[in-house]
Amino acid sequence: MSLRVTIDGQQSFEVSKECVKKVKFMTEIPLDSNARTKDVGCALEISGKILVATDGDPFDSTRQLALWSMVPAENAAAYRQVTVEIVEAGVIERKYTFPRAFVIDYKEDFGNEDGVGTFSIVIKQKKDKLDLVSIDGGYAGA
Amino acid sequence: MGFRLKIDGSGPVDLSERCVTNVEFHSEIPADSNARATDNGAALKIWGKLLFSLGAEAQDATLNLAQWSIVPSDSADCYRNVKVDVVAAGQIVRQITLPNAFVMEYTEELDDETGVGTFYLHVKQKKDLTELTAIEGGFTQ
Repeated sequence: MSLRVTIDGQQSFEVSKECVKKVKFMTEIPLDSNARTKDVGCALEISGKILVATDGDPFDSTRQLALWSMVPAENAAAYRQVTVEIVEAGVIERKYTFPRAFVIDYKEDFGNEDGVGTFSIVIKQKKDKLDLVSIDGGYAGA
Repeated sequence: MGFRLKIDGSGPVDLSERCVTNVEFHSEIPADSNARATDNGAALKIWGKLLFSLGAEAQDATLNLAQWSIVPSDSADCYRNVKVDVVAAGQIVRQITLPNAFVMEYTEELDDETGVGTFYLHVKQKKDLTELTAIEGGFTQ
């Protein structure tokens, strides 16, 4: 299984697939609703490893995630396009596209036992642009 | 014991015993009521695996679950008929039908350790139509 995360916007970058370990897609709907509500949101949680460049890799892509999480709200770069592709046995099992995504949580964790750090980012589609989210999958591709 | 999930609508879902791992039915009644309340609901929670078809030969029905979860409330399509069969030893132990169900929670998780992803779906019958919920069982399939 390979998890491919691409972030497009002012500085496009790809989080290398060696880094990403886990992807979680979730809806955010009030649990006390009696019928289908308009207050629907959806979010993606991406977590993985912060790998050190040992042979002169051009740049550490996870650092770009950290920089994105610090972009102030008045800056247009706060909203970016996130695409996550999950490839299994030559099949694109899922392709999530969040065209107006912003960061709601970013965390980095380092300890002296693991040797590598870990990161976790939660991004959310701008709530009034929910209809632009697309979920595809189940087709062959690499 | 196995579970079968069938959802009608624009993206039909038909999941078999191989896919669904856990089902929970819950009657949602206020816990602090002093007498029988009219404020009761019915909900189903379903857990399962995101099995993909090798070579993308068969259509992945779990994709329709994910797409259902983001259908806006102004679309007629957001209410669907959900039917769960609990099968054991050739018998349908329970057949729970929520004819006007909507999504309360949907989660998908995929990581590079387990190889297959998992999903969690929480649906609820539209509250004023709770009486249409059907719970049957004890017949041969």
